[in-house]
Amino acid sequence: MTESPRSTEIAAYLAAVERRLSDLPAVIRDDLMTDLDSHLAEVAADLPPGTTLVDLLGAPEAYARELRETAEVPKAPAGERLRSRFKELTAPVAARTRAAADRYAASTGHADAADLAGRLRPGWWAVRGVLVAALFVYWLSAAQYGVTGFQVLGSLPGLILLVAAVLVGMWASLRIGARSLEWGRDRRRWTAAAGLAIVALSAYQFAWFLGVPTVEYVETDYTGDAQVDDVYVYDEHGELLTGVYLLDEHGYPIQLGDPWACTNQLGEPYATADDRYGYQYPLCMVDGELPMDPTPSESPSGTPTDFPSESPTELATDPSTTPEEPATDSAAPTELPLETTTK
Amino acid sequence: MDRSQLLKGLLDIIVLRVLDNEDGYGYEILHRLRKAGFDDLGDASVYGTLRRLYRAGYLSTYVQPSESGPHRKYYSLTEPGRKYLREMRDAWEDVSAKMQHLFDVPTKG
Repeated sequence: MTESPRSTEIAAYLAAVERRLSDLPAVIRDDLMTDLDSHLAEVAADLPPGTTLVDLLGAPEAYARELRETAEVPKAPAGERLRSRFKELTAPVAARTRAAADRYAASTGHADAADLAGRLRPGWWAVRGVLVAALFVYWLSAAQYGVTGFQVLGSLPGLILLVAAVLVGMWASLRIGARSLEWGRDRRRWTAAAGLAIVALSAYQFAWFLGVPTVEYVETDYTGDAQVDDVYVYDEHGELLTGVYLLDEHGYPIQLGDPWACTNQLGEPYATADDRYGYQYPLCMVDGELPMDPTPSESPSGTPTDFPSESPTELATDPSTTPEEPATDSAAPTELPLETTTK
Repeated sequence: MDRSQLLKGLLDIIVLRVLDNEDGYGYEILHRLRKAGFDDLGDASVYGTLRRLYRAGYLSTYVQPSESGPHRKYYSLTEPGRKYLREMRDAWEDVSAKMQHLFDVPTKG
């Protein structure tokens, strides 16, 4: 029948059926749908005038349900459907990866990737066992290091222990591997996950062994510019202040730098440490080399002559001021240096 | 009683048997089944079964123009289809004989 009412009726019926089969695997749905239109056309050709497809075949919902039942694919739960959709989407990539793996395996003289993987498997089991043994010995030696005073690593008993551990570890791992061939999928997956965890843990523990710098070796506290050897205090005119004491807001001395870094011929540090005020800065004798060019710099405060001695926040110290002055006023929170630069 | 559930397990053997003697197209196959007395089978069930058997390789198809209306897709049994039908038939006869025997035992009371 080519008359328009019939074909629109068929199209509507088809669309209604297809909507209710949308969760079927694409292969089955497409197979059902591609032929269904011609099938319905056959059916419609036999329809006596005045009857509809629904009269003959029943509602599209029922038709779709019947189709689904006979196609032997029960409606999958949501999770399963999502997984199959994901599988469908990633299928091209997975297929290409598999093909590449097969080509690679074939070029090494094996049948395919599965064949190569099967041959490599015992090797992986051995590696897994060795890693566990190495971790065991390493942790054992780390645990007793500094406790017993005996060095496991590098000693003959330690070597014997290592060899024994490796042999036992490999034996156990190979045994587990051979058994795992008969295990179910879930159990094998857990085993594989444990294997990956062992590799990751080993990579983390033995990274130093391969020369990979680890976080423990980046000691920011004592490297480069972070180290303070001396303190230079300048006034607002850029003049270096000498004989300066640094005190915190409680009146306690701030001891920065290392007075032993600069010693005189007698091996005595230049700095004169006072019990109450701490070091006198700069610690070392300054002979020409200064961390800051002693040219007059921008004054941080608008009025250089203004000395708000009661100010708890910032106290501009005149070069002529004796270091004792802030100490007498130590009850008040003071911050002596205006500008401090560190060497 | 609705026999469609009972027939569901037998759809394969029914459809294959109907096509064993003579190829047929979708709607005509349903007519043959109706003539054989299977009034409970719906068009969707027959069509779904045909497609499933086709996917399984038990049926092959070819298209023939018809004098009246659209082209018709004919289904015919393949060699695996015939083999499958034989196995199904053996299984059915075995089950059927056992069922018969089961019902032949007189009930008490």
